[in-house]
Amino acid sequence: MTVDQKISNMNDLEALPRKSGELVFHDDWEKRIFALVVALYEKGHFEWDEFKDLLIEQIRSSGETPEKPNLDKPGYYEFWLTNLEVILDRRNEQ
Amino acid sequence: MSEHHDTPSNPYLEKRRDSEETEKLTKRVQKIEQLLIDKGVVTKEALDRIVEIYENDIGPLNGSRVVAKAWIDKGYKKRLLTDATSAIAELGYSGLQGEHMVVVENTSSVHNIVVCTLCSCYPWPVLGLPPKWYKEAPYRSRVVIEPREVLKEFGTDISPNTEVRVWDSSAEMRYMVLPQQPNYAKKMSEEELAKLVTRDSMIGVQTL
Repeated sequence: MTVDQKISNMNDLEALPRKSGELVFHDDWEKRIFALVVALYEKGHFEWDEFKDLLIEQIRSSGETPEKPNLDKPGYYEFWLTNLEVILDRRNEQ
Repeated sequence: MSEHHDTPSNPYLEKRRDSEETEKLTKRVQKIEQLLIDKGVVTKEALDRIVEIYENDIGPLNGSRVVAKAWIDKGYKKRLLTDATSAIAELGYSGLQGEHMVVVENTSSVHNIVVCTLCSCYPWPVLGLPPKWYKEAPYRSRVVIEPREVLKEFGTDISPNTEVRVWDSSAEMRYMVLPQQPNYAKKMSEEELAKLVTRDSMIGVQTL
């Protein structure tokens, strides 16, 4: 599956913020982290499931869900950022 | 179908950070980006392109422009109905997935509607991300069995004299509906027309 199908299949609490079906980014860094993840996945640096599982785990442990947000806590793309940092660390250790 | 529209607004959308936090986050991202650029894994241009694709190019706006052009340019419409993949590419929209596009035209005697019964195949490059209901079982199964009923639930009444055709998308073939140009819009410019065209009308659950 290509990356857009992978993204499309993220339906639960890991779903990407959208408005009328289109992705929503607030800040430039959010766009950059999104692009970095997409680029690295497309180049085969990690499996999407690894990224997705880690993302779900992080969102769960933060206690934040789209239904019950905690506006003081990290936002959605901060999870992506931490996720990518963790994945790159894992690769460096291998 | 009670959930025609998008799910309630995602609260992540409300989140705002102060400038200090934004700066910290920006630096963290820049650090990764620089590291990967130095290693030759990614280029700045490739990242810019990805952002551009997802932010601007992928969305119903592309589809709306295709429809508007087909309405005012007969030659383009003909090309669109014969070879949609190429005609869409003419406007600079190419698929991320390389699948074939087929455009089906609504007329006074035929109304078309698009579904993917197997999974959730969707013409991304022209319509953006699929709405939630498109991917859900009730739409996928019922639209084939009772398309008129489903259309009614979307508030779309199709005359009994009009044939309803359901197109099942697949990984290789993606369909998009060319809606009928409304009578009141006959004299509008291409730009104005593009604004009229909705995502739902290009899936075929709505008429304009």
